[in-house]
Amino acid sequence: MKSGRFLSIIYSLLALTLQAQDVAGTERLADTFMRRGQYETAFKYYQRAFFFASKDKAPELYGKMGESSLMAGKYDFARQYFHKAQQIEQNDSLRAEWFLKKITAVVLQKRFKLALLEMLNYRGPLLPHQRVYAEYLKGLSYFGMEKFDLAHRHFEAALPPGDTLARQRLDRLFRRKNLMRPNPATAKWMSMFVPGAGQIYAGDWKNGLNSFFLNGLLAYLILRDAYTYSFWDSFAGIFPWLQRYYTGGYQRAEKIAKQRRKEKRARVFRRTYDLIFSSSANTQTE
Amino acid sequence: MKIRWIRRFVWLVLLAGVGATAQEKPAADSLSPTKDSLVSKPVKENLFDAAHSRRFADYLFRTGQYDYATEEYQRVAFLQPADAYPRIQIVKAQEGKKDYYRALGYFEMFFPHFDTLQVPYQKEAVKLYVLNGEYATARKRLWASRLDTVRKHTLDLGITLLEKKWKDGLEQYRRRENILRDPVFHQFGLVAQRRLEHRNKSPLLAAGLSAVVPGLGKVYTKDYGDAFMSFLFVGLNAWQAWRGFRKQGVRSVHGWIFAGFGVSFYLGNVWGSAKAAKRYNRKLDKAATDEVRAVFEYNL
Amino acid sequence: MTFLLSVMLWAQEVDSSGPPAYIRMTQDVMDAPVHRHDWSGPLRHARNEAVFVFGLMYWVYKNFISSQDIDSCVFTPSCSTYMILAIQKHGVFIGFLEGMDRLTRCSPFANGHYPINPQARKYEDPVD
Repeated sequence: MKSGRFLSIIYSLLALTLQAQDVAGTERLADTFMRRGQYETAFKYYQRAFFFASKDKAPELYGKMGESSLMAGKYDFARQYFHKAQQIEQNDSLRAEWFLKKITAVVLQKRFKLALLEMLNYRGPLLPHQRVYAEYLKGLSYFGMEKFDLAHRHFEAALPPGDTLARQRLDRLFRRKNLMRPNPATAKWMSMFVPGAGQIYAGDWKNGLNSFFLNGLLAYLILRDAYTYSFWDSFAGIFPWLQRYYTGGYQRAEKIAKQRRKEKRARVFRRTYDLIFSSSANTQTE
Repeated sequence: MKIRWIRRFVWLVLLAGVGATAQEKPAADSLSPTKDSLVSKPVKENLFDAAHSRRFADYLFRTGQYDYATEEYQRVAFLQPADAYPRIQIVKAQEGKKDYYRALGYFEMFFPHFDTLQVPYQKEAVKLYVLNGEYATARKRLWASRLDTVRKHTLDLGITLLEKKWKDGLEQYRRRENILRDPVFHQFGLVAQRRLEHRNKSPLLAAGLSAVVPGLGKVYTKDYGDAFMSFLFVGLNAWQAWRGFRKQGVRSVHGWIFAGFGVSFYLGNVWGSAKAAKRYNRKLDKAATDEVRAVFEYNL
Repeated sequence: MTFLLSVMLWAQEVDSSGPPAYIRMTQDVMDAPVHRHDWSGPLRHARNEAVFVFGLMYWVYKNFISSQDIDSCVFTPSCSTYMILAIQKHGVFIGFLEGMDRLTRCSPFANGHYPINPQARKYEDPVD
């Protein structure tokens, strides 16, 4: 790995002295870095090319700067660069491309409402593979907003038209059991009646038993103190602690159930992604 | 996996090939304009020369991309070793990142001879020493520099205040109060005056007060809420311990537990009162030094 | 030469198969990673037996008691972590006193006396 990096540095220096003299050369060099996964460096060279390039190169270079920032994880920059590229691009299909990449950046920031708003307002023409990706993005945004019926519908539209098997699989993935369980409210109420029950319902045995025994111990101490000293002694000394851990118990049960449900939904989403992008008709998305 | 091995093979072949071609290259007669030389040496503008790099570096600096700007200025500095501009810009880029330690390192590397520097550069050096907390060196350099005397007295006063010598600072200010017309000098004087209006709290006195009545030391350091809480904690625990001992004598588990907590809170509060006094003093110091430091950081 | 160079660069490139990289990035948007805390640090790095005992108490407290509690401490780091850090730094006795003092300061009255840590949404009060 280390020698690979060393060699890549040597060759990038070589490339620097030999080809990257003018704008086109700099851009080519940046493309190379991009293909090699060195996104920060690529961004730097795109920026350089952009700074010296003529106006007509601007949309392409904005787009490429957007791509390199997107891959480097700087989604806010990516969104702004793609937006600029989209605004000044003349070619229809390229404009759609920049638009979809911009939405990708927005979605990666988890701003699903904004993504959806932009998607629903977009009026440009889309190529077939772009339409597939657009449907996928709409589905993804609805999924993030927890509107699963609409998400289901859009994911279905992204599947290849004749593929009934994939459709059946999608239907199975989007059953209530996979998306709505465990229910946080149920977990909370269960823990209110029996401390720890909600956690166990959500599948967390460790915390469930922990909560049950802790609350049990405190209740026992209260009774014992009330018997040996007085009711008021135990009420002042130990009851606040019981109240704390009882409240904490049902609050945690709700949290745990929410987390489990989120994990389940993430699994559903990953399977959906596989369905859409591994099916043969959709692999040529670019 | 397979494609990786193919690539490694290609690598080997290519490296061997490059080595071979490098050796058998004949001495080129540059006078005969062959077709080859025309193709391989087209007239292109070079984006990596000094002028282009400098323009681009300035752009990066303006847009706050200090790391990239540093790289570009380094290229310019390499291409134009006689020019001081790219080097001072490298220092300023570090300052833009608020990395004063590295800025000083670069400065000392690029400009080792302080006496021969121009005045703005000398001022920059003093600023960097101050921001790095090297006050003695800063003062030495300040008086060795060619800054005007008014400025020298002002900055010297600032350094005294940053060293937290408030009384010395005020004295220094009083001596030249009516002579110097520098507004910053008067600002520093006001800082010293304002700091000395508040008296320091004694940690020892605070601890002693808390030892007599739990929480009283924190009243002295003006942490009234904390004072109330410590009094409550110590009082409640002591009361519970007393109840336990009264009912069951020294065999009372209840009593011993609460007595333990009570004593712990009591001792913790004595220690904490001394700490609160120290924190009170530190807060006053920080408010004053922050104002002085801001002048060195942004207004020099 | 340019040809040679381009072939060499090809030999360095990343494999790419399936949908383009920016699409592949979207598949983990919904992921919900859990932060698993490990409270055994003070236990493993104890200087002496007394610190070890406190480290053990801290480990038990964090795992079985604090994990069931409501989120009530107003500071970051929390009072228990503060105490164990102070014990590690200043020794058992002074560290314990610092921790007890911190417990009395951990109240709504802390409002306005400490800087706020925006990530944790708590008052910042590190060990010093």
